[in-house]
Amino acid sequence: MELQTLEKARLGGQYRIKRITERRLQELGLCEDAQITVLYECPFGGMRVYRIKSTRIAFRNRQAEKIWVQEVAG
Amino acid sequence: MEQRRIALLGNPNTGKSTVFNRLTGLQQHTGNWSGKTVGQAVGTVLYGDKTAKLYDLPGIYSLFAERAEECCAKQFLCFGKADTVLVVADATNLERNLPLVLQVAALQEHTLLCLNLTDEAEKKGIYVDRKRLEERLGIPVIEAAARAGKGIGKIKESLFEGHTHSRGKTEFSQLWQDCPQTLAYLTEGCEALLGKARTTPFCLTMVLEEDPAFFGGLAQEEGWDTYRLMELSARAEGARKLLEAEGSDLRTFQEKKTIFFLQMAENITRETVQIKQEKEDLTERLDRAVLSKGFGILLMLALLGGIFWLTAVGANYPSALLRVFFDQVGEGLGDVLSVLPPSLYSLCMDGIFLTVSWVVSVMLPPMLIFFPLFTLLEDFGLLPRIAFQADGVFRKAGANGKQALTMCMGFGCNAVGVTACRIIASPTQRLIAMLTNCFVPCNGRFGLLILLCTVFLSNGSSVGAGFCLLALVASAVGMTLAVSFLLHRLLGGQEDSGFILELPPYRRPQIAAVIVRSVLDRTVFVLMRAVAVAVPAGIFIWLMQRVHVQGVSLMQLLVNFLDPLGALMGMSGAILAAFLLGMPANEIVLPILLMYYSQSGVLTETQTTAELANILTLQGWTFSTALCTALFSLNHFPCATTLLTIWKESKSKFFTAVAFCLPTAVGILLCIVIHALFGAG
Repeated sequence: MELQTLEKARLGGQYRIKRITERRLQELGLCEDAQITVLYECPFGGMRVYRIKSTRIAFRNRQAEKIWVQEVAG
Repeated sequence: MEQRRIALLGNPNTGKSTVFNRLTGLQQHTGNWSGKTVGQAVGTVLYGDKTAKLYDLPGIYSLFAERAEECCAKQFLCFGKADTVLVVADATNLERNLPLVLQVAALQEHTLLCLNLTDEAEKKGIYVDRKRLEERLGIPVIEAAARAGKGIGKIKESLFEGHTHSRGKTEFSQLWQDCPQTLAYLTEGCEALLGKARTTPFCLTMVLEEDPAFFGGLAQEEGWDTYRLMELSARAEGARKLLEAEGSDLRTFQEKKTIFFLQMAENITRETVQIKQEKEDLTERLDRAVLSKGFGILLMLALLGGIFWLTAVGANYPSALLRVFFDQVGEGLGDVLSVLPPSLYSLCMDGIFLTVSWVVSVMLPPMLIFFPLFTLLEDFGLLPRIAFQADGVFRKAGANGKQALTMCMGFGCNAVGVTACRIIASPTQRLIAMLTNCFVPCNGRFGLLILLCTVFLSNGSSVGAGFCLLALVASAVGMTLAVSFLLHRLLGGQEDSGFILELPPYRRPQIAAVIVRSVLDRTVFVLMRAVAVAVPAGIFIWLMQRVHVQGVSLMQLLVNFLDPLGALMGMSGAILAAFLLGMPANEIVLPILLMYYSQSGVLTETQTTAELANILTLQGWTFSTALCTALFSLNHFPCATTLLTIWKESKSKFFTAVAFCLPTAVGILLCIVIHALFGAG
């Protein structure tokens, strides 16, 4: 499957992180190879809630642009 | 013997503040969302006849980030301010918490882990093997459920009597495996400059990165001069060059470091944590409704609207009771003070006592209702979700969703809203949130707004009045966003600075604690400030009425002076004068106006809405007057308490002046335009 940046990932989809260049989010546990699920989007867009392991974190698309992911089948 | 110093550290939302309160007995405000602990709380822990000082450090995820919170914690640990570090971790989410634990254990000689929220973990079917965790980490681990007070005794015991403390087993040196030359070069330099004891792998990392918190600390805490610092810098630069020669660079090294801790956390979690049943938890189910686009927004608006309505309606009864109470007190006080000369007696009773008691009786009940309810939402875990839902709109104004929260608190009291702006990390965004907070009407202004809506702005039906009020509130929110947008442009904030929110699990609010906290932290705090400004204001209002110049009272002079401006703005000099004299608290604007209309010389209220409508109509009030007054009530200088708070929070006279002038200018312009458009008719 091809690589895409996280802000383009579809709602409800499950992805695997392939590359991440946003330091702040790395500190929060978003590292390469981790699985991430896109959960919700806020009205007017620009920010989404993700699940990583068993926590929910929301961040802006501006930050999601710095994360490359690959969809996990199934 | 010197008192022991213990630092309390942990991720946000681990119940760190609850542990702090349990250990010290001090009620520090705890909240179910990150960014709460601002500044540093210090408490004393008692154990038998021994005591220790407990320092509550900000909630952070990692010692390696470079925000103010992380730097503060890192400096505190690096410069020997703590003998022992107590790290609090969330048992329901151990993996997330472990990197920080591992980092602290690598840095600090005496570390103790408090595995908190074990009761919640048990409910979720999560079991942590404490013994195994202790072995893997090399530090003592104590299970606790701080909310219920479980494990607190053991923590104390371990803090005061534990002899087993030792540096944790974090195998930090692995990180240096690929660059032995750099390590050797750096070690040699550090041993010479920092001393052997300091030369730990953790310290070497900070030197290599020229960590600003570490270097700053050397200068501030240990008095290093520029020459010595430059020497260390030179070593660091040399080491970075060597690192590149060894086929790496600083960026790669830092990334490796982050991943190193995350991986170690994952491994340890795999070995120590067992999840017996994985069922969809309450948080997931609730979030599906709360975070949905349509229903979620409606739910939040309904909740907030409900709280405002309960506050506005529910406050009337206790307010009336308080008035009766103060009347009685006033009679008693009057008897005592009757020995004073008549003018002094009048100053005390009609001036100071009346104003203070008025401010207290109209301000206290709404705050006693609003803040506990709001704190319940906070405790439940709803606030970060509101911030998320609002972020789309606030992003367009250059702000972020947290400003929606400070704005909501502004509806309760602008002074509290301004204080709450501390949760906003970016200094520019925080300043903008503080300056724009008073664009939403606080409880003190709702009384006047409701009256104007009922009597003048609607056709008299309560539904019509409700819609009018809603329109006014919506315009206030719109104005907040518009002014934020302009300020953002003016102050040159970044386009989109990024925004991260952690959504904690929902938790059952601790109702008793909520009441105590919100009363102590917010209500009493604001009330004390309000009383402090009400006393001089009472004297001032009294003097304005009594002092005559050539047969005209100062009040009348002020009214005459303001009349041209008032007329231009579709109001009158008297209304403007009431707003000015109502500076100590927005609640007394109307009583001052009635005092002037009735020439009674003391703050006045009428019994019924009909009576009031009558008085105002007799004074020439029309639809246009009411509309302009309502708009000016929404857009004018903040009350004295809020200004005082803005000054204390921003530490800037300039921005306090801006906070005064900005809404006033907006209000004046708005009223002039509205009056020009609608006033003629």
